[in-house]
Amino acid sequence: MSPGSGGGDVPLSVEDFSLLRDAFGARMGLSLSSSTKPALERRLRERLAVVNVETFAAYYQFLSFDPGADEEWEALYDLLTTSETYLFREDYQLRAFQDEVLPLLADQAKTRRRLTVWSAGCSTGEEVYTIAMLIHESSLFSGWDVRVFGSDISKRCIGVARRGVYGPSSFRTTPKEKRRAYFIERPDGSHVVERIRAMCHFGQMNLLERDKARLIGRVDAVFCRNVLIYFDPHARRSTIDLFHERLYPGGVLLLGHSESLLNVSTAFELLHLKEDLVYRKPRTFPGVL
Amino acid sequence: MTSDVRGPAALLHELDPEARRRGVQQLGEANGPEAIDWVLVALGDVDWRVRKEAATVAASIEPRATVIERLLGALREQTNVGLRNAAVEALIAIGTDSVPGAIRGLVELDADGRKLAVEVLGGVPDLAGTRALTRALVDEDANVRAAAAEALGTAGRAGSEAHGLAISALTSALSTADPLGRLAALQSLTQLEADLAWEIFEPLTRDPLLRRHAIRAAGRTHDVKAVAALARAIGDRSVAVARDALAALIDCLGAAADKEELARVARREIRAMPHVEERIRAFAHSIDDSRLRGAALVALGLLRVRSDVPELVRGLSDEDVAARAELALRWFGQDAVSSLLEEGRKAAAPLRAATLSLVPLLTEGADGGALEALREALRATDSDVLTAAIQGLAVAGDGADLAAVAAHATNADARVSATACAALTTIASRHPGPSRALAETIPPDSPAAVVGCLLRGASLRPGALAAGAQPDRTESADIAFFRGALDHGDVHVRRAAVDGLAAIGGPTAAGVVAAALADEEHDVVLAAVRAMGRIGQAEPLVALLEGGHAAAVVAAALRALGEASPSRAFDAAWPLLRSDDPLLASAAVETIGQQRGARREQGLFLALDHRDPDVVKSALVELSRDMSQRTLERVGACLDCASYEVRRFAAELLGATEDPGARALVRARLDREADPVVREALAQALGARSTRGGAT
Repeated sequence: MSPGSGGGDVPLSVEDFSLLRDAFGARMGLSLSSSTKPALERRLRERLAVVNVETFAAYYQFLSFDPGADEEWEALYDLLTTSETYLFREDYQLRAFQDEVLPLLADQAKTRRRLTVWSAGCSTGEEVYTIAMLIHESSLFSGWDVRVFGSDISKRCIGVARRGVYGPSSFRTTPKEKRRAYFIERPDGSHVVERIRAMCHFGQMNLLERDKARLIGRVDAVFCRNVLIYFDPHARRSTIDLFHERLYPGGVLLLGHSESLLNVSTAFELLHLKEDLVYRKPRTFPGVL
Repeated sequence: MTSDVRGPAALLHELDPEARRRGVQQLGEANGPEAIDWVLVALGDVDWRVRKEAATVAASIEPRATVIERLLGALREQTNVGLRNAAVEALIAIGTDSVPGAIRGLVELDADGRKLAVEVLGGVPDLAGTRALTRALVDEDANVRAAAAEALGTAGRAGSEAHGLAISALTSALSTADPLGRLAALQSLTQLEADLAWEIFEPLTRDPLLRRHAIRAAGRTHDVKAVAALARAIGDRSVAVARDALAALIDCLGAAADKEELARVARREIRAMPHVEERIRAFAHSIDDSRLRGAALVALGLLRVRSDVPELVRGLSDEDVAARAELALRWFGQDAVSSLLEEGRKAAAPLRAATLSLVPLLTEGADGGALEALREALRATDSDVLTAAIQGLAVAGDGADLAAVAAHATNADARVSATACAALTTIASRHPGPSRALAETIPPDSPAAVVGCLLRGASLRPGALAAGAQPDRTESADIAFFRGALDHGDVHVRRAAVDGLAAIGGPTAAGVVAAALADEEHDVVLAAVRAMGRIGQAEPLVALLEGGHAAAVVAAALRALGEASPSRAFDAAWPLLRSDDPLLASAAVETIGQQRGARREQGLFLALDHRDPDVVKSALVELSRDMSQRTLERVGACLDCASYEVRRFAAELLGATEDPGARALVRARLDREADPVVREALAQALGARSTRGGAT
């Protein structure tokens, strides 16, 4: 609880918008164009009351310098990011992953018999469970140590993801047979079955914090779909470098259909699949990166 | 071969493209004719990664004049398309220095080369380049003409004069017989956001090839005739045309000054064509195309048919179209409220909250049904719903709502409690009588003491005084209450008590606040520091500045002293400008920025040399409030700062001025800036004038 008169109708000036935009960019990688100013002003106004400041300039100062600002940043992660997602999203890419990428990875990882897939920016977890279902169905990894790790900047999203209980909007493109096979219907929603849940792990992570990302270890594939589009070029570059660092040689990176590494990184090579293009960390580049 | 290029050249012979790319990268550290030769080789490499790296490296290699000549020569290349395209990319990366050569190329090169020269000019914002592009609109080759029309779409980046020139030339190109050129001209006019008369586009809508594009461009035409035509075009046999017409119509209404009149015309036209209405409803269900769905929802809002409200409410829960659905409901207005609330009651918590938050925006004054719905929602348990209901009551509620809202002032959810506290203050300032009555029922040691503090504090605000509150009679009672509340165990109560005392002011209140400076809670101390500033008590603040307190307290004291005694604050702030702690340095910048006189500028200039980018940006904000010629130059110097954030910020500030000197500084930096984020800001700074200049 925090008394105070709060934001009221105090306007967000162009200069304060720029300062806040930079702060969000530095901390979260977010790229906010000037057209987002009205929406940002609306969304942040109630936060002024929560942290008991009266102007956006003071709010910026609070975020930048106050020792207690971490809690406020947590709230902002929820406020400023999009959590809209659903199961089996962009099915052509998932088909390519299942039919062409997974056999490739099974071959590459056959000696270690361990497969790790990272869904970076997994929101409420639908993608993580979808990937686990695809791996399960491929039958290529029986007896392997399979882990699908989902990370998101929002603690709330990770909480939802861990529960693995979804409502109708998460099933907008899910084939009926998959829903029957992988979910148990209960009054509070559709629960992911245990054999799939057991493959999935979640953690809160800011993709710009490299040290924390290193805790994941090496991975065979990274899904990062519709995340980089919200990032500024610096954050995009840093995130792609992070993926490159975390991937095994020959590991693949799958981006959203409107995203590409053009102008971001030349460290990946393009892998042409029948239905999709994915990026692969080259296998034999001694001395590079 | 010199030793500088021997290593990179060897790598360029490797089979592995990554090795060749690294070779090119290393060429960037060598200069001279040999390095240029090898960069040219790399520009023609079979692998795109190598070519891309070479285009970047070419922009940094010296002597630049030789590089440009060689790159222009590459535009004559007939077989290696990769080389030609990479040369274009390199010339664009070089910037303004490429322009004279590219203009010459428009005369000297063959048609293919001229098209490439046009691409270069399109990529570099430059007035002379724009002039050359307008001339290329009458080139003998159709492809060159079309490319020139396309390239002019970015002319706004070269300033208002270039923007105006481009619009004028492209408008003329619309009346030529060249279909490809007219198509490109239409697209560029859309890109330039040209506000042209509907009469210019109207004939083009009859051309099957141009119809869609003309309709798109007409979205900027705020004309009754255009609106009527676009509304009719939603009924076009071609669904693609209908989609574009709907989007253009909504754009047209969105940007118009006389929205109501245009909306009335659009409504009348659409209602006269039932098949158009039905098509809009069908578009509103197109889940695969959120732009179309959003436009259709806005159109439904315009039509104001109650049976469409459920669809608009569904739109609120779809993040892709939520803003459009909200706009639609605003267009719909008060008539949507009852259906909106009905749908909200049936919906899940987030959607219910969204519907409630719209109520105050759609109702004028206190609508009975709406008020009832907001009051009912106060019984909800979901934080989103509660917050929305409390916010609604802050606007529409009255004295009777105070107690119910007050019940949430101690809610465990910080967002709910903060919203409730803010709402109490707002309602109390409108209804001081009931507010006072409620406040007097609350003792200072009760769990609800925070409500007592807020309501008593609110009754002392100017709004409440205007509404009839009588402070004199109650001042001593209030001070006694706040004194008691300062002993409360809840930190929030103590903080609210300090704020209340600040609202009373005067030496008695200041004496009570002084005790709170020793509070064990940081938040209360900071509130007390701020209160001292508001009450005008300089001495205790100066003591705090000298007492070796925590940085946050010193920063707050400095800001408060700025309110209590500006001259003393100025002197106290000066030494802190160089503090290593960015919190202190920023507070000093802010304090000095609020003063007047020559030393203000001097102090802020000093802060521009601070090593923390946040401090530098704070100084830039203060300097931007009063841009003298000297200030402009210092802000311009920040374009060379190591921090890209500072460079971007400086570019934005310079872009907001009308000074030609600022423009020159931005232009000069654009030519050598490598960071894409800063480049974009610089380009926008140059383009910003085109909008304000009103050259169209």
